[in-house]
Amino acid sequence: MTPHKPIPLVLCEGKEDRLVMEMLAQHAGLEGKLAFQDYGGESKLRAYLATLKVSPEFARGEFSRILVTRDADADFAQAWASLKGSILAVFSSEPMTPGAWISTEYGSQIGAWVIPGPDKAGMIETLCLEAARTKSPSHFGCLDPLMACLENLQGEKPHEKVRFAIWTIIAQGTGAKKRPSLERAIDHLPLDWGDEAFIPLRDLLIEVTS
Amino acid sequence: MISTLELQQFRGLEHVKFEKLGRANLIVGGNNTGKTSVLEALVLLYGSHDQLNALPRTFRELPQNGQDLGRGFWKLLVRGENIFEFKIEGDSETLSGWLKQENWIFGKSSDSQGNLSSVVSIDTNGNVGVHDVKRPFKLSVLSTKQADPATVSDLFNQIAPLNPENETKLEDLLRQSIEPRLRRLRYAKPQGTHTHLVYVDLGEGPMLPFTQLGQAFARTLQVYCEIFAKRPNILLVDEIESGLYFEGLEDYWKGLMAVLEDQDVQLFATTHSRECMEAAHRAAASMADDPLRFMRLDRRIDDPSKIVATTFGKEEMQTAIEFNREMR
Repeated sequence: MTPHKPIPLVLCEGKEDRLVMEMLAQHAGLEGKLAFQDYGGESKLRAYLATLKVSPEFARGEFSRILVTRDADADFAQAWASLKGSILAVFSSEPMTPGAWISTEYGSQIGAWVIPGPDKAGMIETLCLEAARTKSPSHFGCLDPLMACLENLQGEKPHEKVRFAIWTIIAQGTGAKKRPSLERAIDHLPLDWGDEAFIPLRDLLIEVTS
Repeated sequence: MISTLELQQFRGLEHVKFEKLGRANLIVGGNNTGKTSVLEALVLLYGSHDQLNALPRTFRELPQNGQDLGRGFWKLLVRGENIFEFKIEGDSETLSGWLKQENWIFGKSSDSQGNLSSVVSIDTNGNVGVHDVKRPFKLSVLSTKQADPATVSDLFNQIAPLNPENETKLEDLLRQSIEPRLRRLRYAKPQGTHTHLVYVDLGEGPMLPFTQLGQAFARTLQVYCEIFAKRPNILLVDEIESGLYFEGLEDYWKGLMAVLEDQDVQLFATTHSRECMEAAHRAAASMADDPLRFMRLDRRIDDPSKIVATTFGKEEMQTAIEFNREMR
């Protein structure tokens, strides 16, 4: 059913990013004030935006703002350039800085954000791990040496997703039985949604709704 | 073929513009957003005297004694009470309509100076007067109303004299998309009957009048008879999915798009069906020249009196299908 009032839309790179953002919004008191969609990975972003631009929701003006997010992975600058390039290709205009807004036809504003934050490498899992470290340091007493051992063994630093996956096993304690995807584990993990690590993203979500 | 269509102050549409139109154009949108108005605009722009005369009841229901409502149709051509002019622009033709003392005057211009090449007048009784009509395109119009079986049959009878191969082609198309048992079609008036009709040989006993084979068969036969017998440049079909079972839609579209290309016909059709849109997309995906466009009308939520137009094609539709996104 068509809503009567426009709401902001947050575009997430994948299901796990979306899940974390939804939880973060919920803990920031923004439940029901934001819509979330995931676009299935950065390689699909441009096609997703092009389709969103001709969707009924966009034409009807259902989105007051659209915040497009993606992970920085190893290189923030490259991720930001790629994100801006996709927005430029579809909307013929690009945001100058993370968190800045540009206007599009039909009244929606578009902004972009690279996770974990400006000039940082990493991804949504990086934020979660930072937020967990303060709340449950003992888990990291186990995780950090293991990662160091793996790095030594493999000759390169383990991927952030590997670090995150192993942490979810540790952090779930004896309850971990299945593949510890964020989706399965999020309710059982000692994550502090008010942690400092989440503040820039949380503040951005609050700003999106303002 | 026309590649753009622009409507200003026409019926419920303040200003909409469709660009990059294709060989087959599917018009979609919510209820009462103006899909039928787009078809009516094309009739006004390219229709014959008879098609203009019939326009008030072509796509809309009028009661049997609906003369007043018929007259009302012409009054409602403009968007608001204090607006007395509308404009419809196609590629090679612009139609401007002015309401003067309750009579409509439609002026058409087809040159860059805006010189009028023809004038149509509609009086207060809805009578259509046409002066010096030059039509760049020949138009065929199919509404949702059941066509007279004798008229469809007469059209079928005109196909073979024009081109015998098209009669065979028509049988193949019906066989592929609607009725695999079909062996042949015959125009006949068997003893004891009063009207010539198309009869269908299914290889199972006596031939049957086509009216016995269901709505999908009748509708598909009508569409192809219209194309092969009347040879229009532009074909308008209201609710094209009407009567068609969803499993046969892709084959239906494959056949229809091939015929549109082969006979050089441009299609404008409305649909409410997501399955119809997706089937048309799948059928078009295998064709080389990207024949399909979707034209959608949406009502703004910040200003419900405002309708906006969007045109999109295969890339956007493919992504929409992949993400299960509703595009109607």
